[in-house]
Amino acid sequence: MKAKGFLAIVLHAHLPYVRHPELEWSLEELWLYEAITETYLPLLRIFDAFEREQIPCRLTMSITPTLGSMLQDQLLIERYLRHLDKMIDLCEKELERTRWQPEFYPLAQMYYQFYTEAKTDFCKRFSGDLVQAFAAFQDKGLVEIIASCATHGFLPLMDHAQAVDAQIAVGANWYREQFNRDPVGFWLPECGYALGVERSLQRHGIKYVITDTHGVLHSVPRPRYAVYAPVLHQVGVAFFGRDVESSKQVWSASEGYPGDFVYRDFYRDIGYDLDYDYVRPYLYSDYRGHTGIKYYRITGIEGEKLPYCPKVAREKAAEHAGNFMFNREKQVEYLAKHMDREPIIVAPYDAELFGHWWFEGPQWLDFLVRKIAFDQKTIKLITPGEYLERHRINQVVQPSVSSWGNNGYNEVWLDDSNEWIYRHLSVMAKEMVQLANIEAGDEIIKRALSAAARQVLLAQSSDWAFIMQTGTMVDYAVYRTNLHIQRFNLLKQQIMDGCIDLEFLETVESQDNLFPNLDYRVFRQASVNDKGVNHAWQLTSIVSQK
Amino acid sequence: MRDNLPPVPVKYGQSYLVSLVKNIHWLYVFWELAPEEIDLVGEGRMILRLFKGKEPIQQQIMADVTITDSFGSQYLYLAEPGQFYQVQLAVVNSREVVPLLSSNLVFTPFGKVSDQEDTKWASVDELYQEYSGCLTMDTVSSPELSYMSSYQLQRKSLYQPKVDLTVETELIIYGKVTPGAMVYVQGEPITVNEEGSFSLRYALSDGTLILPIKAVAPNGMQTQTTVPVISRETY
Repeated sequence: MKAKGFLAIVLHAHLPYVRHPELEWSLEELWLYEAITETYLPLLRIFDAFEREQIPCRLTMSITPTLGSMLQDQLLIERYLRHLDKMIDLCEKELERTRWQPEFYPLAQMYYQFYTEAKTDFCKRFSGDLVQAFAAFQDKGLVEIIASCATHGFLPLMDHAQAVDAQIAVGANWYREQFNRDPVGFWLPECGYALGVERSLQRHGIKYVITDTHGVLHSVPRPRYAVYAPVLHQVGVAFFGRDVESSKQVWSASEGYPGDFVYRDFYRDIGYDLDYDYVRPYLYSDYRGHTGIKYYRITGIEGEKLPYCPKVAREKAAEHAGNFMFNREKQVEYLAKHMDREPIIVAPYDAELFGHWWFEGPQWLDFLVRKIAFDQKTIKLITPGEYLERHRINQVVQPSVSSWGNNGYNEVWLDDSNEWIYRHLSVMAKEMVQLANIEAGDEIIKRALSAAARQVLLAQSSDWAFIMQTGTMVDYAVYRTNLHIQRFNLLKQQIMDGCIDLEFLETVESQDNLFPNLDYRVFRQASVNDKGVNHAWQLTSIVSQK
Repeated sequence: MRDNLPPVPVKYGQSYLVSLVKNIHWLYVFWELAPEEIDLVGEGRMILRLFKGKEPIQQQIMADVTITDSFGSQYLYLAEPGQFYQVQLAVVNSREVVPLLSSNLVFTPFGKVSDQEDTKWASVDELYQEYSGCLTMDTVSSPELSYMSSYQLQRKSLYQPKVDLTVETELIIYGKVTPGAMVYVQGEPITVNEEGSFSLRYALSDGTLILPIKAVAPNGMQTQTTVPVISRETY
């Protein structure tokens, strides 16, 4: 029986570039270690199982260049393994401490296995290179990996078209280097779209992007199929819109699956619960923080928490996967009656939701893929790229300026907590475009120019403005923004003076070592003529009658 | 190493004016006037002038907001969603308004489901090839946005033409519709004569002008749309 519709699950894996060789320990590097252990390794394990068991799986995943670069960085790999050793050490102590506590001892055993398995899988099963591990699953057809911006810059708030182009160009080039193919899809950071972005996407060969619901729904003219089919911008780039129903079931803090009371409580961590001196050797600062070892379930909105029970949680994950699938079946059955083609339900999520924020998330995903494969015939998994291959004729519209940030536009990244950065980012981008016109007379100048370009890209990470707005680690975000502004300005001055401080250049290159092959000329003015746009519209005069 | 870095500047000593869209109704604007341009202000009053529209000849003044500093930022309210906007920093004196800087052009979110139902369908390959075939070595401007450098207003041309020649073009659109029907051009209602005829004139500059023209029957139930597409190139 032919499927009536499709489900495209898109996992966006991203972390900002955080690497501090100048420090012995960095609290912010912990973001990477947690994500590897709790999200990326579990995802790889389920892909591995799907491959071995020949479970039909078609998922879509973005891996940003900043995350990918960190995953392949030798210093960070060594530090990650050091972190795992500490966690295993802590787990051994926990096994000892909870030996006579029957409600917690099995959990201590679970964590011990969790961390020892992480080390084995990281080193042996996936050979220490998770990017290539994901690439292998792409080559085997389980996942379509899509590209993203160089440093996750928020494109709608870049006033220089060349800055937009550089973010996309560097991101697409990194993708080609890693995955040995041209990117088909592209993850717009924060699903942020503004007019003009499509031109850069098209120039770099991108065939589709994903926006939030209203990015497509508010298109002009009105999309005939709402978000259940892609729309085309007149330059040829397709836009897929996020489905609201499938989003809510997973993302909603109040109604979504992750909030179920039997799931593990993220906030009850032994880093806060146990004696300070006991946990201090395993913390990354003098302040209490998360270790990753958590013994309680959410239990309820208030009141005492009950011990976590993995078996019950796993059954719940299976139940939720079945529920999600059931809802998608009903959704597709309804949509298929009103559409003259199969609907596609696009369900994008941050990858780190699965496993890090929602511990049972990878299990849910595992169950979901299996259930879709064997328990029903109404829906099939697909990637947006494959859907475009099936349906190459689509409605031409102008999508709406939009993002998936709170309230749907740009205000998360532009409010009184972070508006100050844009003056500096704008001037940096403008000056980098000017610097890019220099023909470097020697290798040192070329390196300095590329280092300057790298500073611009790093300053543009949307993560800093986001962190400032959410008020979590504001000092660090401000520090990073200022650092890159300062480094850029000093490099610029030295370039203009024709006198490069080699020691400074080498320090900057070694500390901010992503994109080692970056060519500063990517900031040169793009060569795109206005004539191209609307050309398709020149061919026909459109008449419609109602 | 951090101690040897220059401090983050408060000002850059350059002139710039930048507009960033915050959401449907708010625009964030920041600016700085270089010292040599502050002198141009003199005794005049500085304003931020908000324009709606893409082409300078068609832009409408939406608001003038007085500013007192040659360096600062401001949020401006945007009454209409789904529009092009641009901001100018100008000096108002007793005789005239003198523009000093122009910001980049921005386009705001539509903010709602469109009531335009006309559909055009195309294949990915068709559009991709047609668009790629038009790439030439030229400006960076997007087809929707023309980013104006804040220096353009003051830049003097180095080329001195031997003969002065200026050519302008105007487009005349005229037609007829059922008497009593409404006609909208680019979404805006136009005047229709009693017998149903209408005409309008547009300044035509280089580039492509798309003019969706929609007629709505007197009973409001039927509509018909035609979209003339006009291109002008200058060689």
